[in-house]
Amino acid sequence: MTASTIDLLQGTLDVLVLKALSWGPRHGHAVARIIRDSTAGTLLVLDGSLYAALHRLEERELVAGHWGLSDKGKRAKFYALTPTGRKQLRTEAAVWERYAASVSRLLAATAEPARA
Amino acid sequence: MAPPAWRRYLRFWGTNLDADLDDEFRFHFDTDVDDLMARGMSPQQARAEALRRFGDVDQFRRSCQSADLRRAGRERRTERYSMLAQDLRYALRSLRRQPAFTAIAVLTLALGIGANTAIFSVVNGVLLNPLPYRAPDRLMMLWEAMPDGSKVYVSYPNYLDWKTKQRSFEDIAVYDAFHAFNLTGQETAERVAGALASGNLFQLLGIEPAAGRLLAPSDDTPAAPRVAVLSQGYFQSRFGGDRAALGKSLVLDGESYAIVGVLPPKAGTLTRDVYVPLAPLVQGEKYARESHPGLIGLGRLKPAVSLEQARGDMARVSAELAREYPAQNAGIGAGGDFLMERTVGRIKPTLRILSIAVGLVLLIACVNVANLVLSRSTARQREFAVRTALGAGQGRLVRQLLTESLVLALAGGVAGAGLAWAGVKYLVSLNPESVPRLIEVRVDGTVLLFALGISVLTGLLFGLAPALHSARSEPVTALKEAGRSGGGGAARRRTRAALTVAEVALAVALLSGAGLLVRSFDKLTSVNPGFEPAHLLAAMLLLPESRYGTAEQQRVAFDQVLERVRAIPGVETATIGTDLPITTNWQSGVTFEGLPPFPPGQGPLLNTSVVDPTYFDALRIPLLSGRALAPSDGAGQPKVALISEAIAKKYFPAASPLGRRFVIGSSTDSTAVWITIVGVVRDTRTDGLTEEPRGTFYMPRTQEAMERGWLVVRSPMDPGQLTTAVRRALAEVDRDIPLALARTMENALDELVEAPKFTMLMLTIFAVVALLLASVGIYGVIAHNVAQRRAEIGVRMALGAARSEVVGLVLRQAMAMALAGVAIGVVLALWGGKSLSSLLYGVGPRDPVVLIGVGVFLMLVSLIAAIAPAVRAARIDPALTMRGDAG
Repeated sequence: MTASTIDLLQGTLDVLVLKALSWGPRHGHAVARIIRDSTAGTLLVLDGSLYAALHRLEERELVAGHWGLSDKGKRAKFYALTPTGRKQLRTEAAVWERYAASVSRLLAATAEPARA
Repeated sequence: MAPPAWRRYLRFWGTNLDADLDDEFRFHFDTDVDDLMARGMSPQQARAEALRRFGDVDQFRRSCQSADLRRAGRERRTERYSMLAQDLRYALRSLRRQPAFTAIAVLTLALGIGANTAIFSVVNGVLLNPLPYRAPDRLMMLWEAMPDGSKVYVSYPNYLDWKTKQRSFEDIAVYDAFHAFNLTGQETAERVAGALASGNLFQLLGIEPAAGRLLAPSDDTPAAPRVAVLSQGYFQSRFGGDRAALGKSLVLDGESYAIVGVLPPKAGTLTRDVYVPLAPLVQGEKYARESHPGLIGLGRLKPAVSLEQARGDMARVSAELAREYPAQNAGIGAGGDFLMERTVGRIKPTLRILSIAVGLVLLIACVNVANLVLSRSTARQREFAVRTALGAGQGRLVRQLLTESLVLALAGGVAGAGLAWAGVKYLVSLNPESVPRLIEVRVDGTVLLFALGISVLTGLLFGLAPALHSARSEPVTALKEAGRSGGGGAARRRTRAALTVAEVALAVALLSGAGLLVRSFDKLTSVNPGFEPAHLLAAMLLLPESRYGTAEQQRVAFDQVLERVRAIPGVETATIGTDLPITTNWQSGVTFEGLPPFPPGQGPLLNTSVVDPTYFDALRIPLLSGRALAPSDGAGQPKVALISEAIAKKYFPAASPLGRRFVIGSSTDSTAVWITIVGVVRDTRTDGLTEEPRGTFYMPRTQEAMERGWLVVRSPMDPGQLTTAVRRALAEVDRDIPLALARTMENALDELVEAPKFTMLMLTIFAVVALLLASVGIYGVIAHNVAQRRAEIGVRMALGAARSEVVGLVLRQAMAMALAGVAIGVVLALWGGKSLSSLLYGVGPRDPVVLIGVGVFLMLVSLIAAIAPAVRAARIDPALTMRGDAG
């Protein structure tokens, strides 16, 4: 692993995919672009694992797939958040934020915290 | 590379998951490559970069595919459930809309399924469940046999020899399951159903105690301390299931026995209350080699030894014993059969008949409900037509109708299981002696599974034909026909008529069977028993051996008892004898003076009975010739006896038997005493109501020992009410003498016919149910036809047909169906009657009285069932029906 990229755990990837779909239905390529662009290459995400995540989420009924036409008029499979998926995203995002806050609080600390 | 265009059309026939996945990946690559080329890469570079970004394509395809497969599977299941739920909701709604139809159908099915479930639970408990022993299929019951093949109980010394000589069994045991203990040491003496068992009996059966221990071989020696094992039932009823009973003792026949253990609740053929070791009680004439007291043999076959081999081995042992002890064992053979077969074999024909009967009842119920569903579906044709026109597939309609049928059938099944549960409970509480192992019968998981199975089968049976019928109909014709109330379709009407004919035929067959059994039972109960059973009370008296050891003591005791009982107000007379006129207790070989002696082992066994001289007057058994027994035939006088007519006819066909002499056993025995025949009395049915009596010797109790006997009391009042007074009189003599088995003689006679009565009653119940269902069926079909043909009848009446003609028309139609049904039913009855022959007495399986009677009866019932619809048809107002759709 290089210093600038982070391997993702499966659950984390799922949250990112759910988040990418929170702005509306997207096809797989668009989801990949959103994740790559927003993380500016810090995260190493193979496009294939993205599809695996999408199909897994579809199986769990967190996202729903349907066939439509892309902006270039090609047939593409679009994914949309289901109500359960939206709820799941909210829960996981909250957990992730608490986790990140705790980690960064400790890492940013300059002195040993007082005992409670 | 674009996907072939034709593939997307495949989607009309369902989704193609793999193709979709390929399309999805291809779209991704194409877009990615386009993007990268737009950023200035060459096509080769772009393609390489897109592949790098994607990762291992095969790996990700596999993981996507497996997720897709799981999702598709779940979706299919959900779809199926939701369709089923929809069908169910729809079925429930449509059944609720017609509560009368639903109630009748469910009730009909409940009767059919309930009857089948009840009989199956008996079959299951009695025939199918193995006996509760270790490897019960290796257990055999053993007996000895007379030269004519008749079975006799096992002689104790022979049993001891069998044990060492036989080679087929791991072990053999004997037990006397007919012993009656006199239980004393308490308020009043009591009779206890006991068994005397060889010490290895329980080990041989492989049965474990519920508490304490069972008998062991070490208990079975003459000097061993006396111990007793209780049945679970006796343990519960006498000691309330309290384990403190272990170690307590019971005084049985004047001896104290320590209670050492309790049998488990499921003890199979072990139905006695108290089991004690046999060896300490082995003494006297009863256990001599030539005696065959009530000992039943049991053997456990060695592995790989067959029934035939074991029988052969027993024959070899018997032949050996006959050579060793020619005086006692000449001509005595041995036999055996599987214990299960001996236990339940005799009930098999009855259960087979009853199973067939309930099967027929269920068929009739099915036909009835199929008819109901058919006539209902006629009324629902418009609904089906509309649904078909709106695009419901035929498969969906059939499934919908089948769902309705199955819901009906399952409701019927639940109600039927309830009926069966109540019926079985009632049956077990009756506990007819004629059904072995009935105590083990219950509605258990197997039975419920059976009920579920036949419910589903029933639902398919009565639901399939109407469902296919309805679904097949053309929507356009149906819509047109349903517009008029005259429709319904000739095919459907024919189907219903055929079903009704079948129903009548089955009812005729069943009623004929019941009729045969009723007539047979009537013949059986009108057999003259040879005495007058009315106004008699009978009870067993047992003198405790410890205090009444000598013949003189016994005689005095019985004298006192008779004197006190005769003094009871309302008692006309009282007498005593070793046997009731309907039972025998002891048979002996005899030698007649002046007739050549029978070769050893070849002579007849004749009943020997010891009686009070008043026996014949009290029972009203007429003296045919000679003189009666008299008090003057005292102990010191020459021995005398009466014989019954059968002996007189068989052995003295030409000359008078009076004054002739005989000895019990052989005249060469040192103890032989000549007895003079002084009179001949009429035979009574000592060997069963249907058997010709073998003949009885009656010896006066003044000249013979008698330690037990049947007290018989004649009273002009209801004899059953005398029991308490008799018991009191008995206690005045000695409170340690129990009064056992007290019942009126008429009840005792009833017990003899209990088995045929049970079969007859059960079959009659099922036949009546069948008759009810069939008459409801006829009524339903005729009423429906009248309703369907209102318009036609209206036209006829408008054209001048008289009301009587209309009535005739309807009745003729009903009679035609009934006649066809009766004809087929009689053929069925003729064909099936022979399966009943083993259960019939005094009536042939093709008795014309029964067949004609049942046929005429069913024609009458059909006529009655058709009268109401016929009258309704005659009241049709032609003006109303002519106007159009008559409401």
